[in-house]
Amino acid sequence: MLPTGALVVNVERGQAKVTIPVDRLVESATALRSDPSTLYEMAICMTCVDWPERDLRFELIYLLRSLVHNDLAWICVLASESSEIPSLAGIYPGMDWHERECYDLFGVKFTGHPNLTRILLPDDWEGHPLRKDYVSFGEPVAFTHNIEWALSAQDRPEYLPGATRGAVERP
Amino acid sequence: MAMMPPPKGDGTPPDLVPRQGGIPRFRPAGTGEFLEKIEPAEELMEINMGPQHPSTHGVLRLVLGLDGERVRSCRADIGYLHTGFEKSFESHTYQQCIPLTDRMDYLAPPMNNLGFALAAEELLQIEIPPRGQYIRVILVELSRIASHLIWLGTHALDLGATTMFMYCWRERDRILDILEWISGVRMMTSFIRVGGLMSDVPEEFVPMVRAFTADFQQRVDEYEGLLTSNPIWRQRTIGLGVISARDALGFGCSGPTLRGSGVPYDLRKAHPYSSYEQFDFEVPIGLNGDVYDRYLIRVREMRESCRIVDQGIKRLPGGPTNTADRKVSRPPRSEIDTSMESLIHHFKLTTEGFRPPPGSVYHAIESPRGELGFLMVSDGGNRPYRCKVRAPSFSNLSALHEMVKDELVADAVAVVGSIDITLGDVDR
Repeated sequence: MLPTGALVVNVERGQAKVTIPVDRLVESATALRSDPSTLYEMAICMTCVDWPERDLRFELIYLLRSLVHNDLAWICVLASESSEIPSLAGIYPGMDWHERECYDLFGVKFTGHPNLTRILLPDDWEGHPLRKDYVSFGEPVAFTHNIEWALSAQDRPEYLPGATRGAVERP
Repeated sequence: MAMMPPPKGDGTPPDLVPRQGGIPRFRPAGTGEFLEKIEPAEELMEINMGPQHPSTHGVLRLVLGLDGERVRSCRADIGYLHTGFEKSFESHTYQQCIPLTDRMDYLAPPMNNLGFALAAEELLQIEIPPRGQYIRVILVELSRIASHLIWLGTHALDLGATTMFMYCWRERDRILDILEWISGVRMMTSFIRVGGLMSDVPEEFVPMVRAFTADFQQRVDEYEGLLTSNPIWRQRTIGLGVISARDALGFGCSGPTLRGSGVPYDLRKAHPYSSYEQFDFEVPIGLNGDVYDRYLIRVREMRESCRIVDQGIKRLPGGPTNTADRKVSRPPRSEIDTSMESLIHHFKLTTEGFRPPPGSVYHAIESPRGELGFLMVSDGGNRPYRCKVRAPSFSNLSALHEMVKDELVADAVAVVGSIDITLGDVDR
C-alpha cells in the first residue's frame, strides 16, 4: 500500500496530484508499481518545473499509468538546487532517459542512476537551459542603458562608468 | 523482391498466431551453426552506426558492441536534432507555439497541433463545436495514414524492398495534396489551433477525401500482397526484436510498439478525446512483440484509420468549427466592422493572446508512434510557464537496447525501423 503521512493531495481539473517527501519516493514507486490495488506499471515520463523564487525551486513531476485501472498517477516531489533525488531507473527502466533529460536541462541530481550524463546537449555544454534564469537567446547586446550588465568591466569604453583601463575624466 | 500473389479470401492477412520456433530465423547460408559455435569474445568491438546512416531515419547514433556479428550492447546517442522547443514555448504565446509543434514530429504534424491544442483547451476549460472536432479527427487520421505510409516505405526499403517506397510515397502525396488544399502548406500545416481550426475547410475537401478513401483499402491490399506473406519479409522480421509486455510497459513504450507485445492499449479507446467515442474502429494488437507483429499492426491501423475518416466524412456535422468564446477565438471578419467589442477582442487576441487560469494539466493523444503527451503549466500569463512534451519516440527508443540484444548487426536495422522513431520527436 501507499505509505501514508506527509502526503499532500490536491485535486485539480479531475486529476489528483500527490506531493510526497523525497525520502518516500522509492518506497512509493515500488508500491505503486507492484501493489495489485494500484499496478501503475507504465512509466509515462518524469519532468521538472522551475520556480526560482521558491525555496524548493524544483517541482519534479512523475507520471505513471495503470492500464488495469485505466488511471494516471501524478506524483510531485519538491526539491532545492542542492537536493539529491533517488533515481527510479531501477524500478521503472523507462525513467532512465527521462531523468537524464531532467539532469541535462534542469541540473537536478539523481543518486543511484546508472549513467547520469547529458542526453540532449553536448557533454561540454555550460548551464541548464530550461532553468528560468538561463539566458536563452544569443549574446547580450550592449546598449547604453544595459552596458553594466552586457559588458564586463574591462570591455567597456573608457568614458563609461566602471571601466577598469585608466579612469579618464571625460572632457 | 518477387511479386507475391495477394492473400486469399477477402484480402485480410493470415491471423496472428503465437509462434514457438515454427519459422526458422534467417541466417546466411551455411554460417548459422558456425556463428553459434564461436566462443564469446573477451572484448567487444565498438562500432558506430550513424549519425549519418540512412537506416537511422534522421540523425541517430548507435554505438553497438559487437561480438562477431552479434550485437551484445547498444547505446543510443541522441540530441543531434535538439532544438529547444520546450524553451521556445516559454517565450511564445499559446497560438504562436502551434507552428513550433509542427516541427517536432514532422511526419505527422497535425497530431502535434492537436495534442498542444487539447492541452491548452483543457487549461482554458473550453470545448470546441462538433464540426471542428470531426475535422480534427479526419485530419489526424489522414496524417496517421501518411506517417504509417512513410514508415512502411522506408522500413521496407531498409530491408531491400525498393518498390514499396515508391508505392507508399504515391499514396502519401495524395494526403499532402489534401492538406495543401485546405491550409496552403503540404507538411507544416498548423491548421489545428487552440480553440478550433485555422478556418473551415473548403467545399472541395469532402470530395477529395472521399476520392482518397475510395480506393485506399485496395492499395493496402497491394502492399500486403507484396509483403505480408512474402517469405523473405517473414524470415527477416518474424521472431526478431522481441520485447515482452512487462518490459515494454516499464520502458514506457506505447503505440504499435506496446500493442505488438499484446497490450491492447490505445488512448483513443482508453481516454477518448475529440469525440473519438463516436467512431467505430478496432485496435489491432499483436502477440509476439516482434518486428513482424508491429508491421501487421501498423498496416491494420491504416485500414482502421481509413474507416474512421470514412465515418467522419459521412457524418460531418454542420455549424461553426471554432469555439464561440471570444476570449480565445477571434471573431469573424464581418463582425469587426460592426461591433466595437469584436474589434477589441480581435486586437487583444492578435497582440497578446489569451491568458489561461493558473494550473497544470497533462493531456495525451494517440499519435502514430504512441502516447504523445503535453504537460502544460500556466501561471496565468499569456505564455506557457512550462510545457513538457512527452514524446512517444523518446520512450520507445530507450527500449531499443533490449530489442537488439543478441541479434545480428544486419537485423538491428530492421529493429530500429520497426519502432518507427522520428528523431525530431526524440530530440525536440
